Amino acid sequence: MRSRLAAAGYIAEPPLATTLGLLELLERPLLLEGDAGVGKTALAKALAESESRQLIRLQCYEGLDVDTAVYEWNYPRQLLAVKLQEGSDRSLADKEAEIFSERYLLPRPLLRAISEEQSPVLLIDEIDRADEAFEAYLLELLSDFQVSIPEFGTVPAKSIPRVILTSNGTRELSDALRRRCLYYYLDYPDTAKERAIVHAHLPQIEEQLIRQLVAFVQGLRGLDMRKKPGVAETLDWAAALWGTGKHGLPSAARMLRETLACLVKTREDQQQLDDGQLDELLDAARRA
Amino acid sequence: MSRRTAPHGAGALPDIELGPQIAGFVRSLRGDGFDLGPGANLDLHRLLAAQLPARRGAVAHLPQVAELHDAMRGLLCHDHDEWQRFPDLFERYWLPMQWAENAPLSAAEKIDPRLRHERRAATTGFAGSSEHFDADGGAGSGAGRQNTLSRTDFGFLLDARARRETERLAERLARALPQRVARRRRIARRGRRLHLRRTLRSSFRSGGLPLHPRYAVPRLETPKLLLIQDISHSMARYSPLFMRFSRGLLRVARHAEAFAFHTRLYRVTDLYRERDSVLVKQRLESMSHLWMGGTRIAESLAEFNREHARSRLDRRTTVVLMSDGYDADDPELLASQLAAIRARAGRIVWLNPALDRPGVVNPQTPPELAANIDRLLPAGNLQGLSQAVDALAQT
Repeated sequence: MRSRLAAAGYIAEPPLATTLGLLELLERPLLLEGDAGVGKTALAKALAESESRQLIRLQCYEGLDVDTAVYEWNYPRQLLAVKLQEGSDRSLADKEAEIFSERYLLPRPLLRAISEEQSPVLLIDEIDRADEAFEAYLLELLSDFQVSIPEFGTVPAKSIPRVILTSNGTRELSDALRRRCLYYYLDYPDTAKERAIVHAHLPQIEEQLIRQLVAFVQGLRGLDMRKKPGVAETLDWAAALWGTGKHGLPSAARMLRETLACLVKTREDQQQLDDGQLDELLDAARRA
Repeated sequence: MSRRTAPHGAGALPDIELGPQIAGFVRSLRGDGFDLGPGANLDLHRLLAAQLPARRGAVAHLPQVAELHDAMRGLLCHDHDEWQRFPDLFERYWLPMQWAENAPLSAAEKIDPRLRHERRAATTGFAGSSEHFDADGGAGSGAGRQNTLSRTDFGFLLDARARRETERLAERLARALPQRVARRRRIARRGRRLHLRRTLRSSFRSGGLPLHPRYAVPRLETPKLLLIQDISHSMARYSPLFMRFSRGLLRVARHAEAFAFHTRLYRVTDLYRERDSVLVKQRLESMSHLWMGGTRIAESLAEFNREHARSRLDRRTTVVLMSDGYDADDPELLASQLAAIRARAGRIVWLNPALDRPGVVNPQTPPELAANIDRLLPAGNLQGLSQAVDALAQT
């Protein structure tokens, strides 16, 4: 599992690989929690790529409803069908069954995920942003892998998708949802893992620069920041430094600020970081 | 689209020797507040049968234990708090000798080496016991232990593990804050009472035919809370308990705000929403360490009235004041500030850990204060907090 994920550009530690093994064995969804930017979404993408499965993604937001997430009837076509059948001598029950048949059903990500012959990876991203009502609706899908459509009946899964839910903790999820899921808390990577991640994504960058920039980011995370830089920020910064022809970290905080926007993404944090702190971090990173 | 039966089932249970230990471990986790149903046992058996077929009955070697630990952690934890505590609980159950060597000593154990010896003696033997220590150093588990904890005054709880467990239970209690039916209704696709205006609007897409009726259904809501917590020196031993209690309330009550004070007032809503409770506790301690003098309840409430009351309070707000009431300010000033809050808010509930202590006469509440407090409740233990949750749920 780890080598397959590594081939897809994702460095997974053994406990995570074990949990992904459980995902397959127990056919249970996996709830991934962790700060923004630690690689939750990337894991789902890498899992799909490593197992040559289709990735179906549902991005959650406040107000997300069944029409957008599960299915919707194709109203214009249904109306057209009603008009066309006006002169027909078919019985009312037949006409109704025709209008509410699969032909007029528009599957959205969740229905699509359980309708695939080969099980896909279903990523339900940022579930904490969806409303509690939608979360409750998800329970049926995640425990029985079936969707109930009142006019049509129950649609069971053709294959069980590998379901990954991610949450940034903006809202507390219900105990019922948590009970149905395996759980993994994805933390910021340690130095060795972060170096490996940068190396895997940007193999052209020199080893010395990787060592220094990772040490700097690790030091930055140790500060009291409103938004700590995630792995995506490290990769952006590495690409920015390399793209501007740097082979080592800038020599002074003033020069560092040119690319600091890649790492520090709130005004409050940018104002809070003074040159003295940045110089100290730079010195420590250069010694790494 | 084909229709078939449910695609997965529990399957046959394997006959493995680890069975009794697995059940014991699940029981032990339940005793520590993990929310585990009967399905947890089945899942663990399936896991062992499929993942570790060659290792039945033997988990004594470390690499295998690590694998078992990782798998069980993913399966049995449901939130970050459980995730953080799991390694210690796993070690305590499956590797009791190792745990006894490594676990931090409680205050009582530091003083008396005999207690350390007893702990080791009680935990010897591979997975032989799921018992762990009670607040007073005795063994206990499950509901019995939680009953004892619920009645024990948090200020007198010395054992570090018992304190952690009580803090966690306080947060769970707060998260159980019942919802109430709101006066306004919400629109839904199913229900009993038709919402005519919405139904007409939704009929536009079907050419005026009312194919999509909309209904007005009851809406549940949590009370609007404003929490003000005393983190002064006299409250130091209760601060972690009220911090977790406040965190729990903030999680379930959508429009809640939290403030903390000693000699000045801080807004702590965002801090309390941090996931890492250890970090929150450290920051809270660093706030209170800045101050080593008296408590300025009245002055802090005055600051609240000056800066925040206008935007944070309305007639639907319940103000929850968590303090022992020891104040360096003038009692008349406190009374006037409470009256100012009371004039804007719906009601004031004062949670006081100094009330109803066994063998101690309750301090008299001055009548000018009592006039502005709707409920004054003891809150030094979980039982008190449970009553507080009930009181907060009432309109």
